[in-house]
Amino acid sequence: MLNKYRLTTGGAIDRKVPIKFTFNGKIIEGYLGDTVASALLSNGINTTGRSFKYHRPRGIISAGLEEAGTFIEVMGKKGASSFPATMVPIEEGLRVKSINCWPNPSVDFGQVMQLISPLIPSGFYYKTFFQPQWKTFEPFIRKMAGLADIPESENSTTTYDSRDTHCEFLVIGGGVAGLVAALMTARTGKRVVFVDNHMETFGNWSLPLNESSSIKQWVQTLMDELNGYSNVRILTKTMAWGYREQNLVLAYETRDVGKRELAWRIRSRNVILSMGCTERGLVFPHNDRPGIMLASGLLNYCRNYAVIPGDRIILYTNNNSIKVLAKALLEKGKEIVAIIDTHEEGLSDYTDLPKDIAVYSGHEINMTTGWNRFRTVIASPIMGGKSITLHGDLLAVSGGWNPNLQLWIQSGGLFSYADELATFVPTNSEQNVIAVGSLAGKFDFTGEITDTVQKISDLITTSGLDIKPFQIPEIDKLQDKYSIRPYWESENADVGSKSFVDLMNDVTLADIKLALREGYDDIELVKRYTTLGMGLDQGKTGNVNASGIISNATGKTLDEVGLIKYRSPVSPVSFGVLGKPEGEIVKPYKTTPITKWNRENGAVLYEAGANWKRPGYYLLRDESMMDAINREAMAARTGLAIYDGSPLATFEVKGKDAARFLELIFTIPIHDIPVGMGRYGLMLTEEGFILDDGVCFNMAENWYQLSLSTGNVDLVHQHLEKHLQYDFTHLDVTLTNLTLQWMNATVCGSKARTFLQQFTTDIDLTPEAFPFMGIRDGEFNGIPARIARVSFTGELSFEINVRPRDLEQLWEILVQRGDNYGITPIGSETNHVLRVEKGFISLGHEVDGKIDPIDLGLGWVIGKGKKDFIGKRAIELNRTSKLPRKELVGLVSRDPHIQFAEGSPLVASEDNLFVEGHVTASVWSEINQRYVALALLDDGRTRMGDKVNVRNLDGIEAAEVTKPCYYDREGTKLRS
Amino acid sequence: MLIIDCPFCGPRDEREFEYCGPYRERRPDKMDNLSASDFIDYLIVPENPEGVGREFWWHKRGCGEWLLVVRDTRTHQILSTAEADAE
Repeated sequence: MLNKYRLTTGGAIDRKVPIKFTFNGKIIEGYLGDTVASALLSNGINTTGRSFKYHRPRGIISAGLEEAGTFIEVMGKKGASSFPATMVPIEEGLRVKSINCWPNPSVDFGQVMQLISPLIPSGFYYKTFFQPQWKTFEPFIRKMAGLADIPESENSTTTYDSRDTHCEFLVIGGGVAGLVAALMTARTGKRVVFVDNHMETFGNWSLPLNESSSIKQWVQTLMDELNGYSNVRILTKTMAWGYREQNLVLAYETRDVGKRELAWRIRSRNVILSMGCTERGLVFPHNDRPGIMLASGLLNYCRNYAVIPGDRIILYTNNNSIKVLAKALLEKGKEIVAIIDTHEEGLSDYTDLPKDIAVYSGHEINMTTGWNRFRTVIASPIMGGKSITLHGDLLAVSGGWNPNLQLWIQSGGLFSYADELATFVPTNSEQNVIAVGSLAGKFDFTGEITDTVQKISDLITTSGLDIKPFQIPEIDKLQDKYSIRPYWESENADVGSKSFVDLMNDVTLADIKLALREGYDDIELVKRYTTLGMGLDQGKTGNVNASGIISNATGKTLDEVGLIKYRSPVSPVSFGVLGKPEGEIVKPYKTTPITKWNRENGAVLYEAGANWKRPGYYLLRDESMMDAINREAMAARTGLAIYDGSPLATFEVKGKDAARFLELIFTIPIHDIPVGMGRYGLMLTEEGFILDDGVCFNMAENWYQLSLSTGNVDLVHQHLEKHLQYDFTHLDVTLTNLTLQWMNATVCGSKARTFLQQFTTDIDLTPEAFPFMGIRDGEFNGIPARIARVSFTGELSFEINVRPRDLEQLWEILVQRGDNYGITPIGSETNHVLRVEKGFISLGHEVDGKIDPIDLGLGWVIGKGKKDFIGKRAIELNRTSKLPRKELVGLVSRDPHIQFAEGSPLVASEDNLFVEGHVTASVWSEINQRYVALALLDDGRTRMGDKVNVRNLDGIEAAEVTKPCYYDREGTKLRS
Repeated sequence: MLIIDCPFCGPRDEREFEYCGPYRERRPDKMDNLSASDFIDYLIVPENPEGVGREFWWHKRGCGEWLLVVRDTRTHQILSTAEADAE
C-alpha cells in the first residue's frame, strides 16, 4: 500500500504534490518535502542498505547528517555518490540506488560474508592478505566492501562554483542560540554571515525537551527582525564542513542540488559555533537491525514528515529526553509496547505518561531478533533476574546527546568530559571562536539563551562595538530538565553477539576490545586498527560511546581517553565543488599575439609549460600529425622555417654589480662576454641540480639580458629573487621579468639570412658583423626590434624580438614575403624533433634531480677558473663518489624503423634486467630517415659503439651507443 | 589558508604569496672555506620545529618582497612578518 505509514495530517510535506522517484529500480511515491529516507519509511521499505563489512541488512537510523545506516548513490545526469538518504530531497524522476549491495539490499550476494564473520575480526584483511601481496586481493576486497560506483554519466549537468567572502561575525548553525547570536551581532551593523544546513527552518533546538509553543512565536519575531538587516548574509542549505587556520571556514551550499553547488570560503574575525547536539545510540547485541532507530530520528519523521514507520513501538533509553517521543507517538495514536530504561526507578519520571505503558527500569536489552525487520527484544534486569521478551515492529533508542564538536575540534578547540551530561563539551580554542547553545553544553532553554546572550555581549564589547540590550523572553514551563546516566555497553551481553558501536563501518564492541587487548590502547590507535569513526558519517553517533567503552576497559577517566579527533569534512562534500571551478576561467592560458593567425592556419595548440598555449604543429589539408611534423622538420633543415618563440622566459639584470651577481647564478664566466654577445650556460640550485639552461647576453655596461626556458620561469624567478633579496643583498642589482614584454618570431634555416636581407633594417646581418650568439638592437621593416642569433634547431637562426603589439604585423609580413622561399611555420613538436637530432638538452627530458652538467657533456659550460657559483660545491661533493654516473648518449636501433619508447629502461641483458639507464627522448628523424634517440646511460661516454639492450614495450631491443648528435656534428650550420 | 601581514602591503591572502621553505642562514661568502660537514649542514639541515618556526615567503603577486615569517606550526598563528634581509 502506498504511503502505508504516512499519517493523515501534519508534517511539513505537501500532500497535494505527489512525487515519483526510483529506488534500486523500484518506483516509490512520496510528497514534495520528503527526503529519500522519509519516502522509503512511509512506504514500509525497511531494508535500505547493507553494512560495510558484514553485509548485514540495514535500515534508516536517523533523519539527519548523522545517518550511519543508509547511503545512496544518485544516478543520471545529476550523478553523485554516497549521500546519506536522509539528506537527499526527492524530486520527480530522481533515480537513486543503495550502495554496497548487489543485486539489491533484500537479496544481497555479499551476505555470505555474514557466515564467515566470526573469522574476520578487525585487522583481518591486513593480517591475512599480507602475503603474497595485498594488491592481489585488493580489487576483490574493494568490490565487497566498496562504496558507491563512479557516477555513470560523464557530464554532470550541475555547475560548480566557488565564492570568497569575509565578515566580522560568522554564525554557524541556525538553532535558537545561533539565531540569537546572529541577531545580536547584526545589530552592531557589521558584516554578519549566518550559515545553516537546512532549507528554511531557523530557531530550532536539538533537544526535544526544550520545546514550547511560546518559543516558536518569539523565534518568528527574531527572524523577522534579522531579515531586515542588509549587513547580514543568510546562507541556507549550506554545510560548514571545514575549519582552517585564522578563522577560515569552508562551506558547501546545495540550495539547487543538481543545478548549482557552491564552495564558500568564509574568513571571519569572529566565529560563533552553535551547531547544537546529536543523539547517540546505545550499544547492545544486534542493535543494527532495520527498524531500530534513534529516538530523535523517529520524532523528526513523526513531526516533519508525518511518518511513523511502525505500529507497536518499543523505546530504549538511558536518559529522559525520550519521553517527548513517547508523548508524540501516543498523540498520534500509536501503541507503545514498553519503555526500557537502563536505570533504576527514580532517575526518570514516567508518571505523566499513561499508566498502562510498561516501564522496565534497570533493564537492558540482551538480544534482538528479526532479519530484514526488527521483531523482538529480549531484556533482563541489569542486576540479574528473569528476562522478558517483547514483540514490536519499531525500536527507538536514545543513548544521550553529544554536542556537535566537529568544527570546534577542527578549530583547535579543546574539550572536557561533563559528568552531568555524560558527554564532552567545549572548553577553549586557539582561534577567535566561541561555542554557544547546546553545543556549549547548555541543554536547558533558559540557561542556553542566557549563556548565549552573555557570551555574545562579551564578544561585541571586546570587539569595541556598541551593544544593544537583548530581551530574554519569559518562557512557559518547559518539560523536565535533562538527566542522564552513562551506559556505555551492555553488562550481561553474550560475548559472541555483535554489538555495533560504529554502524557505518561495522565496528563492534568486540573489535574495540580486541584492539585494546592487542595493545592499541590509545583512542587514535583504536580508530586506525578498527576503522572506528572513519566512515562517511564520521562517527557522529558512535564515537562518544567508543570513548566510554575504552574508559571502562582501561580504567582511564574519560578526559584521559578523550575523543577521536574529528577531521574535515564534517559530512561528504562533492568532488565537483572541491575541484571546480577549473580550467581557463580560473587559470587562463597565456597566448601569444599570433594565436588567431595560428588557429586560422591549421595550428594544433598545446599547453607548453608555464600555462602557455602554443602550436604543436600545423595541419595542412588531410595531413596526419606525423606527415605535418616531417614536412615542418624538412623545411627547417633544407629551406626556411619560422616559429613563435614568444613564451621563452626573458629577464633583464641591471646595476653595477650585475656581472658579479650573474657569475654566482650561472656556471659560465660572465665578465668576459663582450657587449653585443651572449653565452650559453646553466643555472644550478645550491644542491647542484640543474634549474635551467639559457643564454646570458651582455647588452651594454652593467646591463644583461637572460633568455631562459619557458617552463621553469616561476621557479627561476623565485631563485633569482631569493638570492638578490637575501643572500647577496650587498650587490647593487635590479631584476625585471620581461617575459611578457618581448615576443618573437624566429626565422631559421639555411636561407634565413638571404631572406631577411630583403627587408629594410639598420642591423647588418652579415656573418662578419653579426656572428653566432650575437644580439643587436635596431629597426626591422620599420619595427623596433632586438635580434638574437641563438639556435634551438641547429640551423642558422635569427630570433626577432619585438613589442607584443608588433608581433602580428611582423609575423604576417614574414610569412607573406617568405612565400617565395617556401617559408613554413613550425610547432613545438617539430622543435622537439630538431633539438633531439642535435642532442640539445631539454629540462624534464634529459634533466632530473641526479644529473649534473658534466653528465650531459656540458662540462665546458662550467667556468674552470671560477672560484664560486651556486651549486659548485655540491657538484664537487657529489663527484667524490666513485659510483658510475648517468651520462647523455645517443642510441640507434639496427633497424632504422624501430622506435624505442621514451622512458624505456636500458638493461644489462635479456636475462639480467639490471637497469643501467633509460631512453629520454626518441623521435623519427626525417632528414636521417630513421628513428633516433637520446638516453642517459651509466658511464655512457666511455661506451661509444657498445651494444646495449632497451627494454622496449614489446621486448628487448638491441641498440648501439653513439654520440648524442645526429645532425651537423661540427655545428657549422648554426654558426654560418 | 593564511592571511600574511606583508610589511609593505598589509594583510593579504596566502594565494598572493609563494612559500619558499624554512629559514636558512645566508649563503656563506667563502663557500670553499667550509668543511664538507658544515656545507652539508648549511645545505640540507633545515629548521623544523614543532611550535614557533621561521620560514621564507615571497610576496610574488604583491610587492615582490622576500619575507621572513615567524609562525607557530601548531596553531598557524603568525607572530611576525618582516623583510628577510632586515637585520
